[in-house]
Amino acid sequence: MMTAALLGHVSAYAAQVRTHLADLPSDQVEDLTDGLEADLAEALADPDARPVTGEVPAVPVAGATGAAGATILDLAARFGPPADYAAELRSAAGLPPVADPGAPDLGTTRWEDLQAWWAGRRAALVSHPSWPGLSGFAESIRPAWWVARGWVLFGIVFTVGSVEGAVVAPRSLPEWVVLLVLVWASVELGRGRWDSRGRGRPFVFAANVLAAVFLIPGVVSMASPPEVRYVETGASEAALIDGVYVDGSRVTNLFVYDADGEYVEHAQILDNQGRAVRVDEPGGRWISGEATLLSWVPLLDVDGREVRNAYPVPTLRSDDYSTTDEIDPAQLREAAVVAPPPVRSVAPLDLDDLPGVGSEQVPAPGETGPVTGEGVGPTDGPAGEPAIPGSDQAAPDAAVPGPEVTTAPAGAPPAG
Amino acid sequence: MDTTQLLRGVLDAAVLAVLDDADGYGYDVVRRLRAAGLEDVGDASVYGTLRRLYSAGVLSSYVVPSDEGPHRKYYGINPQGRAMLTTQRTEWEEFSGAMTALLMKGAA
Repeated sequence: MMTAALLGHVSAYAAQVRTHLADLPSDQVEDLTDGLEADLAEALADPDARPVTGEVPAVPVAGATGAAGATILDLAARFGPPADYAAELRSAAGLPPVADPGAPDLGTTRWEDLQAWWAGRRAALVSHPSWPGLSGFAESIRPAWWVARGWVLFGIVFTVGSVEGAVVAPRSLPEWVVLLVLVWASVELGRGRWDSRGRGRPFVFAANVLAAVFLIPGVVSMASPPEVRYVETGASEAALIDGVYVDGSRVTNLFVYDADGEYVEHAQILDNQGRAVRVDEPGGRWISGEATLLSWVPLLDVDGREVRNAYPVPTLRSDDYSTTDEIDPAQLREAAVVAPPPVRSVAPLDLDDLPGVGSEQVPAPGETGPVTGEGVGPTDGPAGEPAIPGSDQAAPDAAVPGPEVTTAPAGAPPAG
Repeated sequence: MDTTQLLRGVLDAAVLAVLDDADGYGYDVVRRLRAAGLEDVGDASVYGTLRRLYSAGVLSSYVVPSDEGPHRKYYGINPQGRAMLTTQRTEWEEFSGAMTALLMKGAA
């Protein structure tokens, strides 16, 4: 016969057992402990029973024959600690034991998985037949790695602070000193002069990884000198934008003077191949000294097309940061002004003392546009050369020898 | 010799054999095993084994309410369980025969 007090103790013990199974799904716990109270109670009431969990030593259960008594109330003495009881239950049921009773089982962590994976890879590698040969070879080239490590670290240190791209070789005495110190330190470390097993180990590991990662880019940088790359970028940029330079700075406008030294207000300038000589820049030019944006507003030909090589080009100065792309073209045209020439006239040319002959087409009807290229070339050449350095730069071939000036227009019509 | 270790390997067969006689609930199976001479069998080991065999599909189960206290969960052997028991009987005969022959050779 079961008393209520006995049942209470049994329920409490069963509850504790369930606590130690809490890491399992609830239906599994229910399945494992369904009917546990009845079994416990009956075991307590069994006159032949004795402690049987196997983990606890046998304890005399003197009072077990009676329905009450101190001995049977201590269920842990009869069945063992609830934790052990739960462990035996789950082990017999074929369930994995819990590592830390009471704490949820999270399984292996990613780090542990990674370590196990790495250990497996390493074991497979080391047991490979070619491993002894490979490791012996690697062992013999280790000093080369030590030097390379120092060199790569030097490159990393100075490339980080450099604006000229990758640094692969020392450029000054201090850099030589740093390089030699780094190589020396790397070799000393490699020879085991310093103990790298202690706290310094993570740093050595990090330096090794860094050097290994940057070794290939470093070698590639050394194979392709920085000068080459500089020229490449410079060339591609220059190809995109036309321009005329005088004394190293960019010309923003040109002024043409005829043979008599008189200023020609609307003149078109071609080079020796018949290409338009232009000074305008797309989007205008920001002149930081004056805090203004200089925009070019080219003249139009009779068909309404822009003639960007007709000089002087009307310009617009704006203290607005926005580019002229956003401004209405009609407004732009209205606001543009033609800058006055630097001088009204220059010294007339001595036409009796020309270096060549064949300059019959001196008169310049250039106003009609690029269709009549013959008229444009000669005007540009002889008149501009002595007076304005700008035009000299714009068409150097056209300015110096007379014959070439005349041949240039012959090829010009297709271009126009 | 640690009989708990020995029991671990043969508890499945023992439980199946007990249930082959008659259906039983947890502690009933424990008591019958002890009565058969397996004194060291653990309560929880038997309960766990019952659940495992039930999960493996070789036992059937049903609950009998009790007027006096908690309900009892009975287990019975099914055809798959009987097949398993037959296999284990054969294996045990071979194994125990070999062990007996080995151990008793010098003693005889």
